[in-house]
Amino acid sequence: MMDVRTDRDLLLSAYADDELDAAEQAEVEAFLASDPEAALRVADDRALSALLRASFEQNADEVDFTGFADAVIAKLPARKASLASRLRAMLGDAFGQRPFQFAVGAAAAAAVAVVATPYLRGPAENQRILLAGDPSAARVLDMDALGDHETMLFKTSGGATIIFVQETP
Amino acid sequence: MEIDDLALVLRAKEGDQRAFKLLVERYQRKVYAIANGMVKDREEALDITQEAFVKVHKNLDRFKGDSAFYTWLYRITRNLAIDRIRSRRNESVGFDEAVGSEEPPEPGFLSTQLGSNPQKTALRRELADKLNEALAQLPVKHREILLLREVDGMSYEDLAATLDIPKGTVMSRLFHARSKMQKLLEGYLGEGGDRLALASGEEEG
Repeated sequence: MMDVRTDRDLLLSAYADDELDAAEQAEVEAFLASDPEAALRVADDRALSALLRASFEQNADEVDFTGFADAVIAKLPARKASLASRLRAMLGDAFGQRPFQFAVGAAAAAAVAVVATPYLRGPAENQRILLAGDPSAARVLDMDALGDHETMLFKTSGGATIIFVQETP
Repeated sequence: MEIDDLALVLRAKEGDQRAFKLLVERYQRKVYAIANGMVKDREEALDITQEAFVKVHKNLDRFKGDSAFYTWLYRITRNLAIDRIRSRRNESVGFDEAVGSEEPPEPGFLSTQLGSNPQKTALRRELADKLNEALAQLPVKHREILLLREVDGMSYEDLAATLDIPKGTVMSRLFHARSKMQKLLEGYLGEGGDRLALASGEEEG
């Protein structure tokens, strides 16, 4: 047979947890003053809470976590951040503090790359690159630093990809 | 100043393993306590704890920061623990909301046995074992709400958000979980009240 649980039982339990609003608390306290058995139930709930807390603490204290985090780290695969995340991390200052200057600089770099590359690579590639799109609409895809060089990867509005490499200033 | 969880998650997403290590160190004990409370096996709980962090790391990109990092970590831990429990042959996960037919415990039994300051009670091994046995008898939903309330000190509001249940259900679930625990402890310890008295640091000192 199911027990019939009254709202008052639930209120007493929540009262033991200090989770009642002021009106409910006053209602329970008035009731507790007239019913010693209810007061004992609240005391039991609080005793159980304290006992469980002590037990869980004790169980966790029995485990030595020295080196545990290192063991977890050792199990992790090398993580490569997403392109967007790496861009944000590398260009955070430029985007966050000088977005306009950065945009102008990036567009200028793209323009230089589009204009200069044909002369560097020879006539065979001239047409494809020059028809690739509007360099001023180029957007940065990636930027990375390796050793004494920085690499920027652009995409033009025509879909061509430009790789721009410069010596680290 | 302590770096907040979200900042560490963002750094971990960038591939910063030191940031992730800080998160592991921050929550390993709590996660273990939850796992151990659920599966009641130390080695299995340690495995779950490790697995939970590895899984969290693998899915870092899915964490958008809409909920607290710990809530997300807790849910992963809980699911791993439930999988382990389900894989055991004879243990029921018991997610139904049935109230149960237990008689209410004798009022004052526990508080009388534990004295005036149970938090200072030094837990004796026998009592700790009885508590663990009683916890293992509870349905998982009752075990987990007691763990979250007592290990993590979650408010009713946080419990409702973490368990994705209404606040009224938090209230009734906690009530039933405690009633069952008290009844079980009464059954285990009722005839040997002297054991509880021995468990009290106040009595010994």
